[in-house]
Amino acid sequence: MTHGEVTAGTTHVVPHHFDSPEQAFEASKLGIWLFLVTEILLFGGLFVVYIIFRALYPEMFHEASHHLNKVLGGINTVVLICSSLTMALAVDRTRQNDSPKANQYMLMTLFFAACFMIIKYVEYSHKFHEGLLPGANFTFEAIQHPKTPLFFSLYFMMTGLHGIHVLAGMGLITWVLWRSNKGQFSSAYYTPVELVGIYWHLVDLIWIYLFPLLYLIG
Amino acid sequence: MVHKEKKHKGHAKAYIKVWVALLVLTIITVVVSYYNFGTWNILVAMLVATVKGALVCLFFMHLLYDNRVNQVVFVSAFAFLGIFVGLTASDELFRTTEKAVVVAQEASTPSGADMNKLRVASPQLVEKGKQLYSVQCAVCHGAAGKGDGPGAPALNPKPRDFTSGYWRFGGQPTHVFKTISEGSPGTAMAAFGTLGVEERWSLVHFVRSIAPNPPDDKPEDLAALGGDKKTDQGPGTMDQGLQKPVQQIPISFAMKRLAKEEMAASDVAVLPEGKQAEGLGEKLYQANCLSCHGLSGKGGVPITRISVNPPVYLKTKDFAKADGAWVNDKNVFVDIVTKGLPGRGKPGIAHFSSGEWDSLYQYVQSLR
Repeated sequence: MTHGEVTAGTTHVVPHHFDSPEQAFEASKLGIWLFLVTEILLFGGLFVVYIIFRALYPEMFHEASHHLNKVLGGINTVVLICSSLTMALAVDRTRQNDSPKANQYMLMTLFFAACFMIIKYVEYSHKFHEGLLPGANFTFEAIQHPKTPLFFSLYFMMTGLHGIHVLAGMGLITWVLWRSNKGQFSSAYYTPVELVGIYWHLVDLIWIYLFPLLYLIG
Repeated sequence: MVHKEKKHKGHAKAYIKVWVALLVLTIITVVVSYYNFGTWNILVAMLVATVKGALVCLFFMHLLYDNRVNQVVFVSAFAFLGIFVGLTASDELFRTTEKAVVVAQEASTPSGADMNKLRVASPQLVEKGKQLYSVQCAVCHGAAGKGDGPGAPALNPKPRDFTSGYWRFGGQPTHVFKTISEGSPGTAMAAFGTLGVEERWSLVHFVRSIAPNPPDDKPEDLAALGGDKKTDQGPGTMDQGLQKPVQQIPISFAMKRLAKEEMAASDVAVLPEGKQAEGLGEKLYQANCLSCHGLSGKGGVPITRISVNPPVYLKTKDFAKADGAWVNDKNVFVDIVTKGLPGRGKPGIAHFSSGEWDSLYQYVQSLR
């Protein structure tokens, strides 16, 4: 295979240091998986803090979590699961050379992601209003335990970091949607769609743990 | 061929099945959270989350069809996470926390009636105290209580010689109990609050048994220690005050308490009411130096805590014992006061006029 060969059906050029499009695809995928490992360890730090403090103050976590909105959290879980489905379908359609349908699925994914952020906004503004704020800004008085601000520090750090990932994912999906719309992807080359999809599922995966850990204590 | 799955007609059906499964599992985990199964709640929640996570990974992220390297890489993340959690928890959760100490003390706390008994010396208590003393105290205070244990030569100030009849914090039972429980700040005498209440009282009685004419508790001792006006209930109230030296209190309150306890052992660092400064130097001193160097310049006021257990403080020096260059040189004095002594807790003070410097220097000299 000569360097810089144009693969059939697209304008994508396989970088010259790869032997074949397959190898390029596999290398990219290994890259995204390694990235996901770092992501898990990034969130892992917060999970460790969570585990230690929950072990130290179980009754405080129990009481504080009652001040989170289980219903909104549950709706957001469903919303993210739906967005994961539409993203998986978008990747599937792209691979089947059905870009128009894939674009629709990506738009739906963006819609769900936006829903998630709006619900998150409603939740956050409610917490701000009540004074359920992290650390020294905590002014809520109905919870007695002196360590309660700790729970809300964790809540805002964990959901905040996750929210940043949702926003980044929305940007990435917009980018692949734009490229897909220009007809740049096909069964021969769809690496960016695949990788953005994998990243998006990780965002879902992390929320799957955050939801019971923060909202569903007892 | 780019992907193994290209042969298939697409995964739409499988994805929708996974999606339904995820929704059902979400409903299960929410419903379970409304019931209280104790520790089972968290286990069920984590099990459900893990099944959901596995479905997402295996199907949506198609890790199931991916090559072995990617599978190993991703699973390794959880192995590392396990190490992260395991090592942190094995350190953090097995420390002797303040909470654990309180629990241990509460467990070893006798009831009110027993407490009154403990406060009175008995041959049994003295004997028990003697045995404990040889294990806990003799290393420094000496086998016969003469302050000449093997550890004594290394210590400054020296351990108390119980046969001398001198008590720094008073020889009344409640005072000795307090010293044993809370230690003596600024010395090597550690707080033995981790010993049980009965153990500490037995030590009190043994130590007093070898001292010449130890004083007995007066009503005001009980009142002062209990921090409570109910003197008639003296012993019980006081003991309850002493049992939990490490219970949770606001930091600001703790700082005030700490400062108050410390002051007792040093120069007076607050201006007594009604006291008026006579000259400019005295006025400047009282406004700028008094809080650390004390009213009469004898120092001994703790300014920086340099060790927690036993608590050791960096204290201000007695002016009379000063031998620095400032004693004879006003310029050095001005320099030190202006810039402070970094690392030794001496802060720099704002500039004064030359006349003010003269008065302040003279006043400090007069305190020597």
